Amino acid sequence: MDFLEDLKSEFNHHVSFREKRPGIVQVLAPLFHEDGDMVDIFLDLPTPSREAIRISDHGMTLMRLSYAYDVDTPTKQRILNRILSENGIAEDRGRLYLNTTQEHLYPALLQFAQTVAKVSNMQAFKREVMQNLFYEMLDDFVKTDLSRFHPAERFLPISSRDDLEVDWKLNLPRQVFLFGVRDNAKARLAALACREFQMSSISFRSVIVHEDFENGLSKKDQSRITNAADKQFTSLSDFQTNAERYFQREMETVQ
Amino acid sequence: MASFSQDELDGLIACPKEITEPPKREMKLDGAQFRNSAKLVASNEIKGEFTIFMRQNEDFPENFSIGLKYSPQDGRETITLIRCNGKHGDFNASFDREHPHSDFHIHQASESAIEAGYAPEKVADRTSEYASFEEALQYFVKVINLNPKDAQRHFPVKAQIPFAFE
Repeated sequence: MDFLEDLKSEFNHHVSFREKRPGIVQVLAPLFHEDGDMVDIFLDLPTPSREAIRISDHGMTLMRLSYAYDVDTPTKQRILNRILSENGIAEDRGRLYLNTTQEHLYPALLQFAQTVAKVSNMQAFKREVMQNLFYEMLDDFVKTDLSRFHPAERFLPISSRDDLEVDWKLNLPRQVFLFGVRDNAKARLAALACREFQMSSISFRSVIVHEDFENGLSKKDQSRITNAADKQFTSLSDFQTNAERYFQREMETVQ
Repeated sequence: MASFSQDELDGLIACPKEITEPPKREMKLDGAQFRNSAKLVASNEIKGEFTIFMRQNEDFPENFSIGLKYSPQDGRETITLIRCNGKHGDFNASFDREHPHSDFHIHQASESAIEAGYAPEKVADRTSEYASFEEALQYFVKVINLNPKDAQRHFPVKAQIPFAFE
């Protein structure tokens, strides 16, 4: 196939090809994952129903990613979709692909490899991603896993005080005001709001979900929020694991 | 990445383990991969939680990975200790002629890889211990020292289906 020879030439002959299956050629390019394994890139040759050459990973990128990092929340899925759309890559049932022509095969292949690297890096920068996405992930969890409590977002218990906003109100026999906290400023705001609601004799239980109680707050702010709140979860994963059981107990206690 | 000594890494792989959250009876297709997982704890004094993950590509079934992760639950990050892999296809020989990528191979965590800032399980070697996903799974449960009763119950040897001749 002439276009493979052209591609080889464009790669300065640092690439070779193997027939993986009839009509599918594996590209052996000097492109590697951080564990030393080679990036999986295949060329699906044109068929009667598809004129284009399809550059595909045959599902290997997301499979490799899943060893340590699952795209298992709407937020993570949004990030993945954004990476793919920004780089012009499509996905079909877990397979990343890019249709191209013989003339554009070389730049398309580099574009594809670069995107595979970005998707694979969702694992490498997961801690940073998680920190930036704390509020989004909390929102996803409340909307999906706690939907039976009819969560109301950005609730104002005192209508005249729009500076005292509750992240989520959950409808339990005694209403729950839920705050997500990832830094000192938000911890102080939540503590202040809880105090004000108590002084206004509002009947509620306050629940604080911290991103990282131990390392994310100063000692003074840990004390402030602990004195003001009824219940705290020290991390999002702690909340995700135990929230359902906690709220069930709350319902039984009040009844 | 937090530090682990080689003795600690080897001990984590070899320590006796039992299942706390069993795998599903069958691998489940998710996108282009069949997948399954299980949770384990050590039967000795080692704290933390282990996770077995099993992945097999739908398009290329010879391309699979069966791995063991360890979450110390002491502030250190989760680490992949070992991955028994299938064949990923040929490797770019101009870069590394000896790389085991094209054969069945095993990645194993090493102190040197962690210290060098690589993925802990970067080091890999060819293996002749298995030649299919099913054989790799049987080898894997022995290497990670899974309780024999758990192994028999949750990872039974798949019997060969006899051909019916008429």
